[in-house]
Amino acid sequence: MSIGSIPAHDEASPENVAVIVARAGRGDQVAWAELIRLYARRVYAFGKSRLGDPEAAEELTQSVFATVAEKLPRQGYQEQGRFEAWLFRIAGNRLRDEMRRRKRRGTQVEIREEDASQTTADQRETSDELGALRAAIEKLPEADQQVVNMRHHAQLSFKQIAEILDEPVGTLLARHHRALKKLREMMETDTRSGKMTGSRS
Amino acid sequence: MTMTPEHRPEDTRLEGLLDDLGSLDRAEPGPGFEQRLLSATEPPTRRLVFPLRPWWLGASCIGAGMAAALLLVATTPQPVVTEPSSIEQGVVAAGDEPTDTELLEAFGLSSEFDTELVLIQASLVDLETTDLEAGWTFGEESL
Repeated sequence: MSIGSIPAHDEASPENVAVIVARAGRGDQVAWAELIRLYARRVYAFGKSRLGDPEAAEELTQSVFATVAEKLPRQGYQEQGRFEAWLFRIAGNRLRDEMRRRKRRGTQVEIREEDASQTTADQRETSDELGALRAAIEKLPEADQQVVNMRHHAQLSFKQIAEILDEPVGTLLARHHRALKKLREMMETDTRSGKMTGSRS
Repeated sequence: MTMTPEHRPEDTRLEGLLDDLGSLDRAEPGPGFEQRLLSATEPPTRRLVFPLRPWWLGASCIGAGMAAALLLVATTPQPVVTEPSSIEQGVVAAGDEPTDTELLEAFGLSSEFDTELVLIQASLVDLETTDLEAGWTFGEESL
């Protein structure tokens, strides 16, 4: 499905993205709608993974797209398959600024429990697991969190993450692997302590 | 999912859970999310957001101030500047003596009464003719 002559999500090859970005840069609102449809939820999820609350994540997403809207026409952006990297670099910068602000204010990241109402036992178990996973991610060092969130929330490839963070792909692969190991250990500890608590009660 | 040499089945499951978490967050924004974002990037908003940057606001204030100053200068009536007459300058070249009327005007006098008054005042302060003449040359018919 296409909007006008603009390719839809499943057709968004780098060439198509180049066309959309070029049109958006010329102020084409249909192209803007398509860019937002392609990337906004990924930017939102990337922000939400660190900020914790939906309002802050949406504000961050708006700020990122406002920056793109401001810079795209002025810089005459030339798409070379790097739009995503550029977009998430902006998102990463905004996120870092917000985290610094929060640190100064002493604001804690709020981890919301997954909605467990009206769910089956299996779903509840998964929901509990996801809640525990979210809490475990929060305990990871900043650099590990960054790679995990870029990979699983923003759906970026390791090559793109390497470009954004300006680090070798191998380094990022190793960091991701270490982060998974830490998460697994934290969740196993959590499960053991949960079982122990459960057996006591 | 990327398989590294040390990849274990537990990692695959964990990565699956991480992907689920990402999917949940991506699906979280309700209806209207994209529309709100689109509104935030529409040209009128861009024009509103842009001037709010501090440097732009400062530049706008300076520009407005300069424009107001120019307008004020342009609309203020300017006094007519004329060359001071030789009498007002107090120096009259030889052979270019002022007439009585010019002298009277120079002292702001317009009648014989005023002339008499000046004479009385001059005598009261005991002004010497030479004082009066300092820089001046009076004609015979004058004071």
